[in-house]
Amino acid sequence: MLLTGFSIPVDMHALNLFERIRGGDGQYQAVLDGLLSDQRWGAPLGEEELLELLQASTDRKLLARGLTYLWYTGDLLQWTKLAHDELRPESLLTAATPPDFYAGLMWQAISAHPPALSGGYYGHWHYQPEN
Amino acid sequence: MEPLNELAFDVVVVGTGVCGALISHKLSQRGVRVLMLEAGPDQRANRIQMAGAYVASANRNLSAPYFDGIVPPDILGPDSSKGYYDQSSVRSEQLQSTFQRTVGGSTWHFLGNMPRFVPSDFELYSRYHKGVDWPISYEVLEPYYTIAEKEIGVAGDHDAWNDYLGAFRSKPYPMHAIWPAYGDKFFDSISGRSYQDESDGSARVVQVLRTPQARNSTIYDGRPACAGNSTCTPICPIQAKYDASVHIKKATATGAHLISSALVKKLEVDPKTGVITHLSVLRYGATAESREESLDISNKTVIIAANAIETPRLLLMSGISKGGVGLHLMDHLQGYALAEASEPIYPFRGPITTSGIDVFRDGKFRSESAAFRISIGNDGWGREGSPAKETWKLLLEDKFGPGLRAAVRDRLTRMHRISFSTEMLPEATNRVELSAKVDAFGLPRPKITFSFPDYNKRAFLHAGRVAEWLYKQTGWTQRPLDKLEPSGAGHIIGTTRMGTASSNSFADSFGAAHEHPNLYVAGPCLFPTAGTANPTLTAVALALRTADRLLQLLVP
Amino acid sequence: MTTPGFQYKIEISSRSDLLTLLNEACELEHGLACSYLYAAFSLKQQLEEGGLTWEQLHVVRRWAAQLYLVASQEMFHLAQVWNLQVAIGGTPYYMRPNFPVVSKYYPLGLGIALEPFSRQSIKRFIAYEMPRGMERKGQLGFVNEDSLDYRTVGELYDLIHAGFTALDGPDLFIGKPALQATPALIDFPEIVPVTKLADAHEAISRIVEQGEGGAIDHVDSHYGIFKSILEEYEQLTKSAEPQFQPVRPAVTNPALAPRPGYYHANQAFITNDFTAEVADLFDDLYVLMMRVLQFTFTIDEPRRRDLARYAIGMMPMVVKPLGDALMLLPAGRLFPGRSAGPAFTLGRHVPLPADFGLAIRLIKERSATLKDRLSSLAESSTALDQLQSAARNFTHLHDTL
Repeated sequence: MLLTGFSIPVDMHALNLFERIRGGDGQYQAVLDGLLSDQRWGAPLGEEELLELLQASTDRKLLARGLTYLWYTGDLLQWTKLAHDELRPESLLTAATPPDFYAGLMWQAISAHPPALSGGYYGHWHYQPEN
Repeated sequence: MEPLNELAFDVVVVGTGVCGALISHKLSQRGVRVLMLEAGPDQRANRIQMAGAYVASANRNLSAPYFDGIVPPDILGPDSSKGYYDQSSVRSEQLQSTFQRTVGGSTWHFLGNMPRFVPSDFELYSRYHKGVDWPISYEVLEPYYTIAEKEIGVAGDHDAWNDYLGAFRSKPYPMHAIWPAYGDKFFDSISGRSYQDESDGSARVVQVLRTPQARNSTIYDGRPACAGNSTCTPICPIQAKYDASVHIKKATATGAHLISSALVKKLEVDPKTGVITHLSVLRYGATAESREESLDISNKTVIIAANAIETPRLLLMSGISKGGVGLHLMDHLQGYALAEASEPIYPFRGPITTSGIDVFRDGKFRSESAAFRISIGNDGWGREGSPAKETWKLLLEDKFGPGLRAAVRDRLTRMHRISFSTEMLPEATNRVELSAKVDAFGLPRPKITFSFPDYNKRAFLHAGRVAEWLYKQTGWTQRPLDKLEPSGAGHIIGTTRMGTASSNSFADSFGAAHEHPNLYVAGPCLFPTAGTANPTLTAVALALRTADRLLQLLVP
Repeated sequence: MTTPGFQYKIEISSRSDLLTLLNEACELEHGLACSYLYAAFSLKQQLEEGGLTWEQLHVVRRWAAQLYLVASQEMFHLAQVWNLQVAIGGTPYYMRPNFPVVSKYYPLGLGIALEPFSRQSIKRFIAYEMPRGMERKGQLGFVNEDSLDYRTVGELYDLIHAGFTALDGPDLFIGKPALQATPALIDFPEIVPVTKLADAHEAISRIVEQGEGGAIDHVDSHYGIFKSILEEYEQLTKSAEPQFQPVRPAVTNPALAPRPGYYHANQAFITNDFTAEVADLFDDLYVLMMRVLQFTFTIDEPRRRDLARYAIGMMPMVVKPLGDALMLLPAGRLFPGRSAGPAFTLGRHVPLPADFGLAIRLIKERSATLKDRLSSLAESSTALDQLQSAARNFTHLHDTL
C-alpha cells in the first residue's frame, strides 16, 4: 500500500516477486538485506515511519522504485538502471513471467486489463470500465 | 521427411500467407492438387503459449510470440533478425515495415483493418497525373472484394460505406461492425462537421466511420467473437482476428499438402521458353540436418506468394529481373498526433483502433501531396508511450503509494493518438536488390533503398493540420510533436507490379508473369500504386481473381 | 409419456394465441439469458483465485467471454421478440418465473436454474439450443421426446413463424411502426424493425440462426459454442491435474428471504448480511433496468434513445460488476465456504405507466434511491473493486436521465 497504492495480499504471487528481488541481482539483495536487518524493521510501524525507513538512503529509494515497478509491470529492472535511465528492453534484468505480467497493478490502476488476456467479453470496450 | 518429388500435385504455392493460403484453398476445394511450401515453421498449435511468450519477452515486439530460440532468426524475418535488411542507417531512409515467416504468414500479427481501396486508387495517373493506373478498375475487383470479405470474415457497416468515395458495394459485410471504443464517442460527436481544406480549397465533411476489420463481432467461421484481448498485433490469443491459418486448415482438409520449414532458394528457368522447370528447396529441421531438394515442376504451375521483399528476392536469386523486379517498393508512411483528453477515455481495452476518417483518401490535392487515411487510436499514445514507460516516468518523479496510483490513472486513461497513413508513389529508386551480405543460409540478404519523398512530407503537414483541427474540436490538449519522422505501416507493396506488358510490369492483372508461362505472383507486390488503405483485402481480392483464372485453366 | 391432461394448443388461430406464444418466447429468452449469465459469473477470472495455471486462465476467460456473448444475444432476442409483439398490437413482456423453473413449466421439458458452470449446466444449455431435427434421444441425458409441441427453442420459433404466416393479412400488423426499435435506438445492431410478414420472418430466422446455426452447419451458433466449450472442458478435466478448478464455489439458485408462493426447495438463501444487501440491490437494479428497457419499446418519444442507453448501459456497467462481486462474497452460514451469486428476482413491479412524464418521474425517483444505496454500499466496503466501479458507473448513468 505504501509503495503501490494497492493493498496487496501476501500470497504466492507476492512471495514469488520477493524471490525474484532476492535472487535477482547482488545489489537488490544487499540493499534488501540491509533493510531487513535494520533494527527498526519488524517492529509495528506506522506508515510514516515505514516511509522514512524506505527513504533512509538513495539505495533504499532505488529499491523502493524497483520494487514498485516490479509490482506494477511484472518486470524487474537491472539495479544500475534504477537511477534515471530511459526504459529499454536492455534495461530488464528479468522480464515478467505470464502470471506476474497478468498480476501487474498498472492495468488495475487504469481500469484496463493485461494485454493478451481477455478484458471480459465482446463489446466491453464500448462502455465505461467495470473495474 | 518425405521427398517432395514423391508428392502428387498440379500447383505449387510458395508462401502460406493469406494470399497463398486462399489460393490453395480455392484450388484444392475444386480438386486441384496443391503443394504449399512455407519457409517458416508451423507454430499453429501453440497459440496460448505464444501469447505467453509475448508478455514474457523483454522487448514485446511484433516477433516476440514467434521467436522460440530454435528456429533460425533469419527464417522468422526482420523482427527476429537484426540486420536482416541491408539498408541505410539513417532512419528516414529505412524501410521500417517487416513481415513474419511462419505458417499463416504476417496475418498472425497484422492489425486486421480491412477497408477496400476506392475507385480513384486504381486511376491515380488518369485523375492526378501521379504514379500509374492499375490495369484493372474498382468495378472489376468489386465482386472479389465481396468474396474476400466473406472468406476472411470482415465486420463492417455496409450502409455507411456503400458508395463512400465512389466505392459501391454489391453485398453487405458478413458481420455487423465491431463496437467502437469508448473514446471514439468524442469523435462521433464531431462527425459531420465541415473542414475547410486549404490544401485544395475545398470544404470536406469529416465523417467518422467504423473501420471494417477482420475481427469477429459474433461467432463466425468457427471462431469466437473478439473479447478484447487488446493484442491484435502481435497475436490474437483466441483467433477472433482472422489469420491465414484459417484457410490453411481448409486447404489441407480438402487435400492440399503443407510442407513447412521448406525454404525455396531458387527457380530454374528454361532459357528458351521461360518455363520454370525446377525449384531448389532447402528443408531444415530442429534436429534433422537440412537437405536440399530439386523439385520438378516443368509441367506444373508455380505461384509465388512470399511478400514484397521475399518474392523479388527469390526471383532475383533465380536470375529473373525483367519487368522491374524489385523496383517500386512502397509502404504507407505513418505519422501521428497525440493529445491528453479532458476526461478519462479508458484506452488499452478492446481492439487497437475501431474508427477512422477516410475523407482525405481522395481529393484534388493528390496531384501535389499524398492522400491519407486517419485512424483513431484506442491504445493511448501507441508506440510513443506504453503504460510501462509512463509509469516509469512517474516513478522517476519519486511518486509512490496512493499518489502514484492516482497519477498513473490520471495520465494513462487520458492518452490518445490519431495516426495517419500516407500513400507512397511508385519510384524506381525505392527498391529491393540482392546484397553482398549473406544470411544464415548463405543467401544474399535483401538490400533495400528507400526514401521519405516530398509527396509524403507534404501529406504529413496536411494530415498534421487535420489532426490539430480534430483535437481542437474535441477540446483536448494536443502534445507538440518535435519531429517529422515517418514510421512504417507494415504494408510492404510493389516490387513485381502488374501492368499491361513486360515493358511496364512483371505480371498481368491475374498475376501471371509476362515472360514465364507457368509462373504466377500473388500479394501486394502486384500493386502498381500503394492505394489509400491497408493492403490485405485488396491483395486477397486479387488473389481470388488469380484463383478463378487458374480454375478456368486447370479444371475442365 | 405425456403428462396426463396436458394438451398444448399447437395451431395458432388468433392474434391472442400468437401473443401468448410470443410471451412464452420472451420468458424463455429472458430466463436463458439469466442462466447463461450466472454460469459466466461463476468462472474464475484471476490467477489468485487459485485452481488455474496461466494457460488454463486463458481458456476459462475465453469461455466466460463466450457465455457473456450468448447471454447478450439472448437479450437481443428478447428485444427482437418485443418488436414482434409491438408489431401486432401486443405489449412487450418482461416477466418470467423466478428461479429455479421446474422442468414441467415449459414444453421444453427442461428446468432453468441459476447454476454455476459445470458439465451438467453446459449440457443443459446444449439441450435448449439443440438444432431442430437433430437426433436427441439418449444424448446428454436430457430427453423430452414426448413433448406435444416444442422441445427446443428453435421449435418454439417454428410455431411462431407458422403463426405469423397463418395470420398474415391486412389486420395483422396493426402496431404503430414508429414504435419499432431500430439499431439507431438501441445497442443491438442486428435488430429488425417489423411492419410486415417478411420482416417477421427475417427477425425469427435471425434469432434461430444465432441459437442453433444454419441449416447445414451448426458451428457458428449458441449450440456450437456450448458444444465446443464442453469438449474443451472434458479435455482439460481429463488431461489436466486435479488442481484444475475453474469455477467459483457459488451456490445454486441463490435467493433472498423466502417469499410466499416463490418458495422452492432448491433455493439457497443468502444469510450473510452484507452479501444479502448487495444481492437485494442487484435485484432492484436489474428490475429497474428491465422496466426501463421495456418502456422504451412502448413510447414514440425523442427521449427514448436516452432511456435505452441508460437501460442497456446498466448491463455491462452495473449488473455485470455486481454479479461478479456477488460470486466473490460469502453466501452465509448455511453454506460454509460457498459464495453467493445474483438471484435475478423479479418482484411484483408492473410495467411503467404509459404517461411519459409520469414514467420519467418514477424512473428518476427509483434511480436516485438505488444510486444512493449503491454508493453507500461501495463506501462501506472498499475491498471489492467491482462495487466501487458499479457505483461510479451507475452515478454516471443516473446523471444522464
